[in-house]
Amino acid sequence: MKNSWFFYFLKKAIRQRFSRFIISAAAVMLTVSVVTALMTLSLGIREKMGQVLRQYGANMIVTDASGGIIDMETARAVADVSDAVRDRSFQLYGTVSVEDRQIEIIGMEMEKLSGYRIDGAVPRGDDEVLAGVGLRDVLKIPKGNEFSFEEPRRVRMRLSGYFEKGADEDSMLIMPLDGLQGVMGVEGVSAVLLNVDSRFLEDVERAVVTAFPALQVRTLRQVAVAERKVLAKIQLLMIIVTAVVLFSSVIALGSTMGANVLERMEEIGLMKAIGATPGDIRKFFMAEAALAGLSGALCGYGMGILIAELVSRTAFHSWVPVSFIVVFLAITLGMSIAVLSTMLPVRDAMNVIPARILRGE
Amino acid sequence: MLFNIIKRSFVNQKKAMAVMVVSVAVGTAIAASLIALALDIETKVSRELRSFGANIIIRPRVTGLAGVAGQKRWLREEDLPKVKTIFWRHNILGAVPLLYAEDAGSGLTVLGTWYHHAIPVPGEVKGFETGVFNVMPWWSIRGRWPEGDRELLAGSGLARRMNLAPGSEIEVFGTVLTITGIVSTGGKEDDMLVGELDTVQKLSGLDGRVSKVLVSALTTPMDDFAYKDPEKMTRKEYEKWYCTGYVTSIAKQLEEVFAGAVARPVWPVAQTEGRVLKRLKLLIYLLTAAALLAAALSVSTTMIMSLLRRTDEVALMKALGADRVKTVTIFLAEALIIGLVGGLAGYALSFGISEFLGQKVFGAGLKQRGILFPVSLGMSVTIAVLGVYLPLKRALAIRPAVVLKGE
Repeated sequence: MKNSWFFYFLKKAIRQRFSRFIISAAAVMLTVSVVTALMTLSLGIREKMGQVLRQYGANMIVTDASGGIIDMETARAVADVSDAVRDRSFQLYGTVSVEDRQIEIIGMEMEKLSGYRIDGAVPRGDDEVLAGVGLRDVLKIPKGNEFSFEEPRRVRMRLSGYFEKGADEDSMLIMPLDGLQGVMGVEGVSAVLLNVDSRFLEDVERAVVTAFPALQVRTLRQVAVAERKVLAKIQLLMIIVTAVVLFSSVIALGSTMGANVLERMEEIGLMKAIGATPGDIRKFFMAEAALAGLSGALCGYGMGILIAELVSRTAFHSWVPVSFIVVFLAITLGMSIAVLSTMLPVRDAMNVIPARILRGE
Repeated sequence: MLFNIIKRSFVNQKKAMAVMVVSVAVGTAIAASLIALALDIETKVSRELRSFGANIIIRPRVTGLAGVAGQKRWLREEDLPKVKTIFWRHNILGAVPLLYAEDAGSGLTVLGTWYHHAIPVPGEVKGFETGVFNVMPWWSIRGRWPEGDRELLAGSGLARRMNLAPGSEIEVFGTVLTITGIVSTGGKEDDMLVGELDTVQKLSGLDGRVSKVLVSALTTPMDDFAYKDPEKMTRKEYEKWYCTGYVTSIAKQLEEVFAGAVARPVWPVAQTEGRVLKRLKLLIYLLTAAALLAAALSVSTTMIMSLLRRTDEVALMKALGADRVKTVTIFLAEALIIGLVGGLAGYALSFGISEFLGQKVFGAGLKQRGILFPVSLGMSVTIAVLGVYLPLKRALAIRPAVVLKGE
């Protein structure tokens, strides 16, 4: 009997004041959606920015401790030593002579040529080679022309273009790994270049040294330290932006929802006058607020994820993973702001004297 | 009369008005501080990205058979202060000379550089402080940097092979020197001895000479225009290129002040920097737009909610004979006051937020731009006025008797 009164009132209250109920729910929704989007992006930002920074190149170099060649099988096994290895490439170093000049040459996989500015074309076959811009005035060979390596064996090559990196490589040659292996007659590589998640550098270094005692590992501190620093900064930035927005929108939402109760003093007075106990009234308002909070939070969560994905697609061309913690936080947040900001003024309203409120004082 | 009504409505509904002002203020504060962040993000982050190291390298120009054939060329140390004379001098954060001296006797290479050095700058008292500490912050030194000209550091790889530790002695260029520390960089310095530039120049007899100079500069991210070949630009384009802080144009200006030098971008650094900045800027812009929209919507819901409650009041005014214009004036004047007060408070609050945000993340507050003041006030007033006017239009359409009866 009592229950039916409760639900009747609740239904009536929501139906008759539907536009207000919707507005409360909408206010919760807006706050929750922005906070959800920010939280989702904060959690995903490290990985997304990490991908951008990874294009900088390797942060760890594995070589043979005595300066020899690493066979292909070992080289591949090195890259599989840990899940923290995000990318790997192989390089073979050698020297060739061109017109009686000894020039250093690097053999590498052509798809790993990132961070090089290329004037001309990337070598497509094993008989094509790129030269550093530092050699332009030395070799004096126009791009596209043919020339020969005289040592270690005589091979006809085509110069597909010049590259520039702004490092010592600029006075070397670069050609496809397979091609250089053929020219030098070796079945292996000089170095395995790894890009490792910067949080696990020490672990990977230990794992490689333990598994392959004949190898030596060098961490390129320049890349590793900078990446760690920059990623930490960017994540901190996102977290603080989220916190600031969260804090201030909670204040705004709370005061709006609270004000909503103040104007319903008459209603509370009426309820008291017809015999509702403070407990009944409290339950009644709590149920209404919880309903507005829940529906607002659910819609807000959906909208927030949508915003996060849109932003991530636009800025990073990839989806951001949806975390389950965020669903939980978003719903808890929406419900608790709605309920708390309603219940605090309702508690004060309990002391009203029905006759005075209803008379309009 | 009008003034009196408005005054009464503020006095009588203190709480409701306070809620609206708070809501406008908070919305404005978030909007203004995010805009401040969006406007400043490029400068702040590109400074952070300088921890990736130098983005411009200056080397001696190699012509003919030199270089590869073995004939060494040098830069002059005396040219270094000139980095602070170019058009973009304020963007130069660091410039470090490196001298590689090979000791034929021991087969060792000794690298001379600056750890912390003040380059004299004309017209400035303090000089330009730079060195390994700000251009190559990833160098890790166990022990201490050498002082005086009888001390060196040993690279970690070399130290392992030769069993060197701080305190050991080593002979290079016929002089016995003390190792004061072990340096670890992950680069080729690990297999060298490292010392103060001055010391190494004296040891090797290469006075005033430098092998290359690494420069760390704040740059504008490269765009399509920047990749155009400067030699093929029209005069106007060239001027625009030269006066924009692209890594290529700063390099060009450095090349002009160094005798016999080529200055080029370090491409992996410059390209990564450009990409990071582009992505991050876009991210912050989008977030700012989303937060702005949400703040605007949430402020207007508050305003709408409060006006819905005052339908009685509108009806009463109508019943008492107020015409449309008068009613609208009263409510809009209220909205204007709420918008102004909330906007001002929000703008003041945004100062605190952006200072906090900047200090926490970047160690320096965000730059406060004058444009933010009119923008935040304009936003807050527009939203407040719209939030009142739209529901008011509906309220004006009602018939007083129906509302006042409470239906």
